[in-house]
Amino acid sequence: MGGSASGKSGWAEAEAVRLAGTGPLCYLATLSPDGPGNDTIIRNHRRRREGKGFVTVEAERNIDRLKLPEPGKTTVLLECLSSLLANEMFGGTDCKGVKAPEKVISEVLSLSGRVRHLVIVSDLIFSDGISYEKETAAYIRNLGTVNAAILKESDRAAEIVCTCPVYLK
Amino acid sequence: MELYIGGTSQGKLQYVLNEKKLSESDAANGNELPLDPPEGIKILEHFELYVRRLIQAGTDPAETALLLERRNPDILIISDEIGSGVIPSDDFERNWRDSTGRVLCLLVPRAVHVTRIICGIGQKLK
Repeated sequence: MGGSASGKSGWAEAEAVRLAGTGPLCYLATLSPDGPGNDTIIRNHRRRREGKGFVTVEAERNIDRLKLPEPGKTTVLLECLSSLLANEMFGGTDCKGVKAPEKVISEVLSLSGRVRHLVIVSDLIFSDGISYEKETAAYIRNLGTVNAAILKESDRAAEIVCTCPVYLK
Repeated sequence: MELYIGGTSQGKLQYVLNEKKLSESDAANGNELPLDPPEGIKILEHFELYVRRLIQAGTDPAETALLLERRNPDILIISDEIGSGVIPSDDFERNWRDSTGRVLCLLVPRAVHVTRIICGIGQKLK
């Protein structure tokens, strides 16, 4: 977890590579290319991942239906929880806001049970002192719920601050 | 070079002054420091505002930060953490947050110590 440009993605990649060892490594990309600045983020992340052995799978939602050749042997890097939630809440699908956090939590936990290791990137967006309008406020609240639920089930968790890990668990 | 980061109003400057036995007159402010960084700076606070002004002037903040360090190898850099909010839709505001974060990540491996200050308490990150 971390704020923007905190070095969290680089840290998570290194962690996934370490956990995978010689086993298969999957990068599960959930960020929709439509948001402001997202195309740049996707391009930069792609460039940094090159040569590290990741097979990229794109899924903006329903990650529990992810098809992997050998799930039990695969280490998956999910980037990121926050975009997965945004896709459910604002992506214009069957799931309209209210149940989005529950859906995301259950999908992530279901995926976690099927794969060898699951490394998850999420955002900390809770400290800017700004009161947002209803939709964004709901998103912030839901991301807090999702982060807390996933951290509860995780083996380890860290906030990445300027590339330095501060372990939470 | 040493790096001190933290949210706004967390007592970062006071922490540094206490630790280093310096006074407020030793601190330059990123809001007014010349964009071509001078020598002789002991403390630079509001580094995030320096990055903002560099972007506004069309200067590469990463290059300037390295130049600042080269001219002031023992500088104590203090920066607000500004990236822990909802990503702004405004291009400039987003770029400022990303650039500040990236430049700080660039400085961490070069820094002797990195400390995060929360409510006046220093948490050693490096």
